[in-house]
Amino acid sequence: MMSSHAKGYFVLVLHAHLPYVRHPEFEEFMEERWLFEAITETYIPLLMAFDRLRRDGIAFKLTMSLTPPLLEMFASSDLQQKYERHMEKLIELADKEVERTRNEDPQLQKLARYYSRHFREVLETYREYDRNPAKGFLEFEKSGHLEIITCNATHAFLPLLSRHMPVVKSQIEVGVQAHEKHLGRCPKGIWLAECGYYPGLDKFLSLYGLKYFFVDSHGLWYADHQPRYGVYRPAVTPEGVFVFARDPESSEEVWSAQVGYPGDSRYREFYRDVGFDRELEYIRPYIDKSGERVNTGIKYYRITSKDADLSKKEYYVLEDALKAVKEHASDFARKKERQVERLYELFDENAPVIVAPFDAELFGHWWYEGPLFLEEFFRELSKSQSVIPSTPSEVLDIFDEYQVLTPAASTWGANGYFEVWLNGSNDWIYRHYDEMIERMSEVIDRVSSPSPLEERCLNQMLRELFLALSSDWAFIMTTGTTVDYAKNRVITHTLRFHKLYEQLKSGRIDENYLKELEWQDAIFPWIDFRSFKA
Amino acid sequence: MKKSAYELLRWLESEPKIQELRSLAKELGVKLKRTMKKRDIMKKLRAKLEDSLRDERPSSSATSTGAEERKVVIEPSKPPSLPESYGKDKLVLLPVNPNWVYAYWDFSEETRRLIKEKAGKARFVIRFYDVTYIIFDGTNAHRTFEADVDLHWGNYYFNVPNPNADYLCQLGYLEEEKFVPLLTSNVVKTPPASPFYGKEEIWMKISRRLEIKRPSEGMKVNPVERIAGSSQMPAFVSTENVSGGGAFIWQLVRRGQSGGIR
Repeated sequence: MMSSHAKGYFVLVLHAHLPYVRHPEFEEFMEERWLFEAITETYIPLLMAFDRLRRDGIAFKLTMSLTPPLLEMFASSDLQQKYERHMEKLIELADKEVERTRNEDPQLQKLARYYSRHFREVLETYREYDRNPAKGFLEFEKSGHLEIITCNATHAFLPLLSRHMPVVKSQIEVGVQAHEKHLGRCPKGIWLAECGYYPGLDKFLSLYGLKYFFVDSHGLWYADHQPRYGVYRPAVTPEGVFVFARDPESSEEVWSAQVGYPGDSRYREFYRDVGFDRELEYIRPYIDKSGERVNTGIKYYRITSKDADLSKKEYYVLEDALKAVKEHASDFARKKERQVERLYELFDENAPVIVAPFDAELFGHWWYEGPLFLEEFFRELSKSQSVIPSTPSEVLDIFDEYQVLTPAASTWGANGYFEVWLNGSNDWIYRHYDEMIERMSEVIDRVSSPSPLEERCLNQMLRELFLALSSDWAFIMTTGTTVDYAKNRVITHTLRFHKLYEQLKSGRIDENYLKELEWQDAIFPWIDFRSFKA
Repeated sequence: MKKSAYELLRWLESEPKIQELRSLAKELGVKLKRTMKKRDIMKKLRAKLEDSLRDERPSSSATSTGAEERKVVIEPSKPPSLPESYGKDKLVLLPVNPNWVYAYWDFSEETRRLIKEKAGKARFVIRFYDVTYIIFDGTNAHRTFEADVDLHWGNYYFNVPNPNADYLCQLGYLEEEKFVPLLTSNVVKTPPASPFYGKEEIWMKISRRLEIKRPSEGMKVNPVERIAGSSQMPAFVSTENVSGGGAFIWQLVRRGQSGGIR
């Protein structure tokens, strides 16, 4: 409840997601590094920051969506083994760097020592949480600092699937089931992939007991009734689901390429990595097996200046970066105080709710110092009388009156609508999505009492469809990085789907083939194709 | 990044632009005549790539190499590609943003034959109907729009006048001033792009499950809306690597970032 000085609530939301990238048929696979880098630079550092905050008795509160593909990858024993192997090699490289930098600049020597120590801590923490970061996050949920929510099953972009009710429904259903399987509790809320909402989607959320979801600012601004408090108070849809909207100011302050914190010259430069800087012979064991250079995570330079050529960057100084973190954390906390006070006056002494959602991987992976920033921010905020960090569930317990409205179709992608996921670079995928969805409905209707083998085949078809639908593929095609991999994934899952479909239809299921797919595309081993029924 | 012949072959299946084909030809040292058509360029490139493929081992990812050689080869060894047509009559409309919609189509054999028959004689067009709040009977649309189409495109983007409006389209041909529809699409609603000005607000008092109506006073805080300026379909995103500005696959134009760069 609100203390006498409290004037508003701050709801920080971190959306933690990676597409399901798991290739057990390969000993090493380049794109699996996405997960490894995110664990090392984001998930574990966040857990370490939470731990320090809790130890110091700081009343921090935040909300995290752990998406079903991420939970599945966290729990995958082969990815766990690969991650440990990856970290052991990284530690080996860091140790080599310690040796090597002895004769180089003392700054480098210091950094090499830091990495060597830090990677060991990360691996240790990973093991402490039983090699599954979700267990760590769950611990902080149990201690009341974190609210973990779910996401639709494979992060499919739902606004472009609204014509296909079965697929939308099963994306929500499987999203809720995955959360229960991995975390042992029902999710209270959901982060819709890409913050993608369309009117009518709330019906499915209510069907599965989800109490709340999020939209981008214009989802409320352009709702079918004007929201009296703008984005600063949750509303409720006619289906009885609560909706929180993103505060544009908070995102701008942190994210903006022009003025955002991560661009400070003292922060670590993302693009200078020993994976690229060291000679090939030396670095070869630590990059991709094909010899293609990749980021290792050992970086010695700071941003220096945004315009500086990569070759003109200066050495990274940990103490200076830490100073920047403190300055920015304090600045952000003061901004939130002022914002809350301003809105509180404007709303005739009604407390505003400020919702700030971010991609979790922004913190740590991209903005190396991000997890420390969050830590310092909560320390700063704990000194504030007026701003109370909160979770959506807590906010919903505070107010008694909510405006009823239907939010507008919207996303948090560039320009706010659907074009990131539907444009000239990726539009070809939609006809294949449609065909798979139609075929799925067709076979489910036709096979009334499937044999155990047919049942497995249908379940695998749903897995292939779901994996193809992941919004990440369309997104990657738009961004132009690792496009081939994304295309290949859509093509591969579609072909596998069609092959299973033909086999099922002709009554000749190749069990070896099916087994192979069950092993390679093993997401949601418990999935039931019946969730696809209308 | 150097791409394998295998990947390039797969890329050829993705209907690249003619300029992209030409620049690839230059890279591979394939000589082209100025007058060559797209199909011919594709043929030349494919031949060149298939030649070089003979000394290249295909792998399933962009760059990774397989460690364990698995005994079961489950995918065809030639580059996989998706069917160009599923042989069904289909016209699908999808919303892109408040003023753009995307249509794609496919034909059955029967329709294909009919189109062939009409080719050269009839004009093929696509018609869009504004059917906001009505059940369309073919004649009662608020407004009707028409554009010429080349059926070979298979898909196209169209600019429509109204946000928050329902549209459907028909693909067909004009014969003796009469429009003959071949295919009819689903209905899509374009997303709204401005606040709704209503007279009342509805509030729910949770503790008493009571609905309360109040006169609307508008928004108490004036939002600064973003300008949705993207009409450069189909390609529109620049992906410069700006230090501290957003990069790597899940940080590019991402999600999340739209609030930043406007």
